[in-house]
Amino acid sequence: MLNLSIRDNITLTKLGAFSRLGWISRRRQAAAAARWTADLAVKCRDAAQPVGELSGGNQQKVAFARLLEHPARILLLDEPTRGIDVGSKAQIYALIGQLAAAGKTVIVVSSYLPELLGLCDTIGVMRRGELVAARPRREWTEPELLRQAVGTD
Amino acid sequence: MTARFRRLLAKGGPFIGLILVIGLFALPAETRGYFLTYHNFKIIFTQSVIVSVGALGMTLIIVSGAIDLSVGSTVALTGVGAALLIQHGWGPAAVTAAALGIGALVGLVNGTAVAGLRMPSFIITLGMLGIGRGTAKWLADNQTVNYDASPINTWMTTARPAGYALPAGVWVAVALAVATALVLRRTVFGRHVFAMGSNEAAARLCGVPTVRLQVLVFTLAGCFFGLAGLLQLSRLRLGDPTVAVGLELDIIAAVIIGGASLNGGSGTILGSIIGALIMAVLRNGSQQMGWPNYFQEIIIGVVIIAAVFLDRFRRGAKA
Repeated sequence: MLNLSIRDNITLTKLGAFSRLGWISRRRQAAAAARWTADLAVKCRDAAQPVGELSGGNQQKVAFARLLEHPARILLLDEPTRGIDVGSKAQIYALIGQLAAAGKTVIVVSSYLPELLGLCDTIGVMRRGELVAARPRREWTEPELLRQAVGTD
Repeated sequence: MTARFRRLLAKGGPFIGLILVIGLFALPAETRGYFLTYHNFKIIFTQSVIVSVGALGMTLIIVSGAIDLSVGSTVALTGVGAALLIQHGWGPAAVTAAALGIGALVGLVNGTAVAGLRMPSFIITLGMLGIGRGTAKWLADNQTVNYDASPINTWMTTARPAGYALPAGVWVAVALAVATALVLRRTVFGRHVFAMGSNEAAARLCGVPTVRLQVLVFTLAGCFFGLAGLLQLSRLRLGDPTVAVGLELDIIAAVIIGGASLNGGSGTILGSIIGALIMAVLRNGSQQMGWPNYFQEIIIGVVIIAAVFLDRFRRGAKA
């Protein structure tokens, strides 16, 4: 939602909770936006800034905030760090760690192996649409992951 | 160019354009005496009302990521329908309700076809352009529909109310513009329209009811087009099935000059109204300068291209 402001992006999926009879409460919206931009260290001018003006990493953090507005127990993250800068990457890894420590289940889909080996408790490999192996992290190495993914010995 | 300067331009761009075109006609000797008078602006406001009211609906549609080419036909159909009802002795309130209803019905058909058949709004409303125009001619039996008199006739005349007071049509347009701007900015519906226009697939995944929303946007916009048809009737004082050919292009131009993007997801009511005023000022000024009609058309064409070019420039190269 690149044209939308940070506050609209964060609250979009549950605007009903921020409004009464369809009228949005700017105060409640601003409170949520202020909390998330501070928590996730989003670099922005203010909460009214369009997300399209932010860097890739900060856009991703806003997308995270939108997700975290929901008290979900299981989070599915598809390539959460693709194409973003190193600093934001580290912050997102730290955030995923915090979420897991808070008791949430986090499923990360990624094709960047060092990321998976650094982040996961359990790594499963998909090959041609099927799960071929799921083992604790310490039983995996990069060559082994690749071998399972490609399917040759 | 600094980001701050660019933001200022982005907010004030259409407004600067309006001041420029007013300046253009305020200075030459031919128009200096009359152009900047209150009476002339009363005429300009009144002349811009039909395009402005249409632009309110069109802004909704364009922000949602769609387009409506059938506005001129809807205006003609509404005018003919309203004129027939006046002939049958309906009062102004009932005729107004019926006109809004006719417009809403056309919008409902457009929106349902776009969302239901998953077809581009350009195609659906291009079809409706023909269907609406044909229906209007059919209903009117291919002639103008005359009626004796109706209070509706006074809504768009600059002679009454006399003096400084503005005709009712102008106030209706102003009130609706404020209401629509608030709805777009501050309601769940408005934010959903922006989200859908920004990225429809992502909006749907975020829980925006895109099908229902598309139908609602076209229906609501249809009410505005119906009202524009009634105001057109008020100006002509008869129902003419051949009126307002190409009106949709003027309305789209006003919305685009006002800073909306045809890609959807951006646009403001204030910008669109200023866009409508820019075109009305250009028409009015060109007439006073004694420029021929074809010259006005060329100028407005150039303004549309220049406005969009400047818009892209002020948004920065990456946008």
